[in-house]
Amino acid sequence: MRGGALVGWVAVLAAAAAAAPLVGVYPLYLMSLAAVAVIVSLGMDLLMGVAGLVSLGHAAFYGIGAYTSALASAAGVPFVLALLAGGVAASLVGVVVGIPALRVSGHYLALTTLAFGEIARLIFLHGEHVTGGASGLPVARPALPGWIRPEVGYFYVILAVAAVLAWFMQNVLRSRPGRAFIALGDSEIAVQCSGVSVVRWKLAAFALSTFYAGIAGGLFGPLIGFIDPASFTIIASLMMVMMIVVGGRGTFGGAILGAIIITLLPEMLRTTKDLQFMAFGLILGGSALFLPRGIWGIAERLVVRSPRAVPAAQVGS
Amino acid sequence: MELLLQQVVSGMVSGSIYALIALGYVIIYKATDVVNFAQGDFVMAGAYTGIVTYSLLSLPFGVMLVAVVGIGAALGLAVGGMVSMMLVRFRSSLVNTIIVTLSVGIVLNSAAMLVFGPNPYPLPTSFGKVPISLGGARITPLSLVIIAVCAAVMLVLFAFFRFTRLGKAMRATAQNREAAALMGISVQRMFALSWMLGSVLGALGGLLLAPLIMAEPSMGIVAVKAFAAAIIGGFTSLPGAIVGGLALGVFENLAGGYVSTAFKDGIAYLVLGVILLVKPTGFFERRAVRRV
Repeated sequence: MRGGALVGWVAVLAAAAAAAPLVGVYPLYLMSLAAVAVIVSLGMDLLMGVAGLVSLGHAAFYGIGAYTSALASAAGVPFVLALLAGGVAASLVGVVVGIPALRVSGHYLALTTLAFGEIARLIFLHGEHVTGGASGLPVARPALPGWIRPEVGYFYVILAVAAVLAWFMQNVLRSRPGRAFIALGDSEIAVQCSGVSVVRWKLAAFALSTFYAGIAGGLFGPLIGFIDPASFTIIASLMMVMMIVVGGRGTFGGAILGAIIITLLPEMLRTTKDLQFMAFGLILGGSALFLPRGIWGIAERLVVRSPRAVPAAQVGS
Repeated sequence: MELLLQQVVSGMVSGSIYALIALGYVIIYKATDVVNFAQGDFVMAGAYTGIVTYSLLSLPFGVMLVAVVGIGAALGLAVGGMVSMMLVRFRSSLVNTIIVTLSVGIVLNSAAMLVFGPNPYPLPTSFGKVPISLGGARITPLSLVIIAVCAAVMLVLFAFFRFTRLGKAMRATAQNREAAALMGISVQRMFALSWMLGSVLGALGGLLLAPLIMAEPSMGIVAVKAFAAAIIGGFTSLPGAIVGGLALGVFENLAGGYVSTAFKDGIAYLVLGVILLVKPTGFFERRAVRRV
């Protein structure tokens, strides 16, 4: 990330941190949700925006992270370790789901993850003795110093994790694995010709992406105080896809903007569930059709005023 | 032995419907390299069209059939046109075509939710549901009709691709677009035709499914099984999709009969996983993966 952009993002981070103690409980809750969504979105962008793959069941990995870290916390594991356990569990399952699908083509991953999302939801729902079934599982927040309001303190925890993971992703994209991911999105044939294993790097992208989803899930549980299968449905998975499509694929800013917009979308569309679902479909399809670079791409074009937006190959530069 | 025969015959019924829907996937994929993620919702649209025309409006059987085929063709033309425009004009990626077809599915699904609600609708037919005995196995006339219709559609398809100029042109386009275009075939028209044909098969699958399981907005999930059937067949082989569909239907029923009925619906996912692990190119395809 160039100096100017880095300063800009640090300013955004500082502004969010400064605003937290000043805003009300509900706006702060939305800000926390958005920060959790940013983590999911960063992982999703690696998969969709950079490597050119799509997962239609990411909510399942989010859920695996949430349940794993909640159960670990309940068993007395320290918060940070429980969080990591959630990420690792999601990533391991991601590899198991990804291996068969990724050996063939991108379509297979989309459909396999779609099916897996449904299977995982059923497991969350029917595994009552572990997951609490439909009535859910209560999740405790980590202990924070007493001088800070708990909601504000927990927002700082989420923000810190999001910042570290964003920094990590930027570094990954600038390293050798990152170049492999970017090359995958550009041309699989070229990757193969360069003697780089397509399957291995696709799997690596999927594993990292599901790790991010798992960590986000682990942060989501304590935020709500409660997890149940209704949070990890196909609609949640689609909203994760929407973050990238609406925000803008293959750009850091697009992933963050998309996460914020999609988190606030249900607030903007206060209507029946079915109408909301239809609006999601229309927004998703409309964005994929008419906004190939998302809202971030439009913003970038307005600001930079270059005839073409930054190509995907320059992600992370 | 009798139980085995019975399970096989029952499996053929759902299997032939899976095969029909799977053929829709394969025809569209072969021609355009796009997987139609709205296929399940086209199935649902076909089922509801049948219910509205035949059961709610009491229109004649022929009108219902025309309506179902018409809905399938119209949806296929609309989505196919949109996707072709994306690929040709915007040079969209794989991810974007998946997302656009998926979005169409979401819109159809929520529209069905809004219009019909979540409660299932039956499609009463005049074909009896009292089983008749047939060489040791018992089968309802309705099931016989379903199998017969599927077989007839498949035969017509086979004849169409084999003997008609249009069918040959479609096959030529699927094999090599440039060469087909040089022979004076309108590739765009063949794309549109493939989308219409594939979607009509989905809608017909829905119509046949409706009297068996009742129509509800979420019934499109059956398309996942059809997708698994297409994968068994290698995803680019029409006979493969048919064999895959029948095999999956029978296998699923056997697992339901001999292992556990709770296990029955999960079997498609299991088969999908195993096939992808063991033989990801399916059993009827020679070059599904392009090696460099």
